[in-house]
Amino acid sequence: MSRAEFPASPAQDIDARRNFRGPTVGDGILTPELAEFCQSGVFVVLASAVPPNRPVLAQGLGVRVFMNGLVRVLVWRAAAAPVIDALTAGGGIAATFSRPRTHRSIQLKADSATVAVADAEDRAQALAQSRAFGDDLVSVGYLPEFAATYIRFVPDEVAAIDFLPTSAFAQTPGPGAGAAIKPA
Amino acid sequence: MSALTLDQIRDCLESFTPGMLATCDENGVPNVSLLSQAHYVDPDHLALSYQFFNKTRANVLATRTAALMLNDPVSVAKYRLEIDYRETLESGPLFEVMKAKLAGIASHTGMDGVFRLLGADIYRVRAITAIPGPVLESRPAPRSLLSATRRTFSEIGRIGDLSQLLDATLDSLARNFGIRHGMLLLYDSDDAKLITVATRGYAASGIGSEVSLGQGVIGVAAQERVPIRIAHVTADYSYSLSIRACAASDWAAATEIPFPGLKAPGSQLALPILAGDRLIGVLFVESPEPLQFWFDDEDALALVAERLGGLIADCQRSDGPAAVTRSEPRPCETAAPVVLRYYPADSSVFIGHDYLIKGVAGAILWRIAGEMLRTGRTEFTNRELRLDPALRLPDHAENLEARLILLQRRLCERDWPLGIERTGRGRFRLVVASELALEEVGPD
Repeated sequence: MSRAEFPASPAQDIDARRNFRGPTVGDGILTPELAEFCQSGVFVVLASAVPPNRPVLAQGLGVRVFMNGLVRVLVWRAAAAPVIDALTAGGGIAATFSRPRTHRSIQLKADSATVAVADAEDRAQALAQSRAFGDDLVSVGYLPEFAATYIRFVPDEVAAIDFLPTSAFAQTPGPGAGAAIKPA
Repeated sequence: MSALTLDQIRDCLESFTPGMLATCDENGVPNVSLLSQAHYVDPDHLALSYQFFNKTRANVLATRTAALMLNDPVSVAKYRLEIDYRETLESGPLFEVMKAKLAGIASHTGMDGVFRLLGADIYRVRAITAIPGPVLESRPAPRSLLSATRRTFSEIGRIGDLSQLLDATLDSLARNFGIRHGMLLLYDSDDAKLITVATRGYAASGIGSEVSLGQGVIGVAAQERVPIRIAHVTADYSYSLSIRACAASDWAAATEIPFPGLKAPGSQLALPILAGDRLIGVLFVESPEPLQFWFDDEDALALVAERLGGLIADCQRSDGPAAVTRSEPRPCETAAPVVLRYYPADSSVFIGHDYLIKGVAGAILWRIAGEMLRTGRTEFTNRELRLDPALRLPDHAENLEARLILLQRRLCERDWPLGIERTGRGRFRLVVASELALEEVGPD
């Protein structure tokens, strides 16, 4: 893990959602602030499972949250093959988003997801968010060469994974980690 | 292409970069989280830190399987591992190794006080797959560790004198491994303490400084008899070596020799020195830079420590050196006699007002100085010290030689008009360059 000068705590996300009164994105589970966090160039990791209970995982490149609440995680097809296969076969999805500088992490879940071909805007977002994430890695002490290699992918081979999250959880390390992020 | 082995990707288990862990429950609902620590156990097993009871934990206990993503901290190469949960260890050597490492990770990541190890979860590795992606070219290692170990064995293997062996070992580590800061501590089983007997690379030698069993990386390595290695040295109190702050009283402070370690270490490695089942001491090395000691360095230095254990045991069995050493204590410039003050409560000896040594080494000096003043005799033997009931030497007096080395080295630290010369196997001479007066100080 990387150095956090001002580490976040699970309670921050749990309390913020309890106290939130405005409309959520697409009337779903994400507040505008949580949606913004997921799309800001953070670390993204996806998991699914192959029956009976074999988990698989892959790294994401970037995230788009649409007005209707749909979450699209962009992946490099070759690197994410086991997850794409498990989702295509009907597996559920879990996605965790984490910012190295603060360790702030949230997890979204859904019973299913669909795999789609990425469009030009998806590829542009994957590039922009990966770069922002790379900058964050450098800011917490990783070598620029390491960070640049860590985030590199082939834009023409990006796939989109779409799901409508049904639950959110605080994943920042500390007391309360794993608790649901939900209204009061 | 043959299947990847855990040994081939061992550097991924240094936990210098985050790992990711996916699990699912009995209904196949997945969960994924970041991982603070993965640790290499053996070619088929790894251990993950269990810090909180959370969804991951519940899933693992229910399905006993997980998937892990790790990357090489240098090349960035990424791997996917399929692993099966076996058991959780809540104490013992592996637990202590991971606890120390986690404290280092917590400190490095700003998570002091948040990370607490509840257990070391052992997993068997079922499959390892390389994830397609770009990698950086690895830089060649700065040295061959196998060759450095072989040269070190060769250099220290024929030394029959404990004092020379201690110095030669630290010199070999500097020459062959590039380790500039290190020390050797020998275990005193009577007081359950480790006593510093040789150091390299510090402003003050710190000879005679003590570390309690279980205290800091050195004390934990000795207590658990397992190497303790920290890549990012922690500010966590339980691993800090600021021993001066722990002095329980003015008297303890007055008779305490400051521990000589680096003020701001980046990496530390403490390795137990054993002879069979017997704890002999600890080899401790450190660097101001983080990430200096890796799994392979630990393995190489563990071999050196193991060899050293056998050699020290041989020296102790042979009752000291055949070689003759010279000591040239400086005469005092004043005409007044030098006063040796002895406090029987803890056998501490002061020269004038300066603390010299305590414990058995202090009692030995008091005993032979008294004998010299009474009878004029300056030559002594290890055997007579062993047989002297007043010295409280344990039956297994293999540490007598270590105590004589400690006494000899403390006397060399300053320009004191006292010294000890080795005159042959099991024999030594007290050399006094000024007039000596003895003063025993009672309990009041």
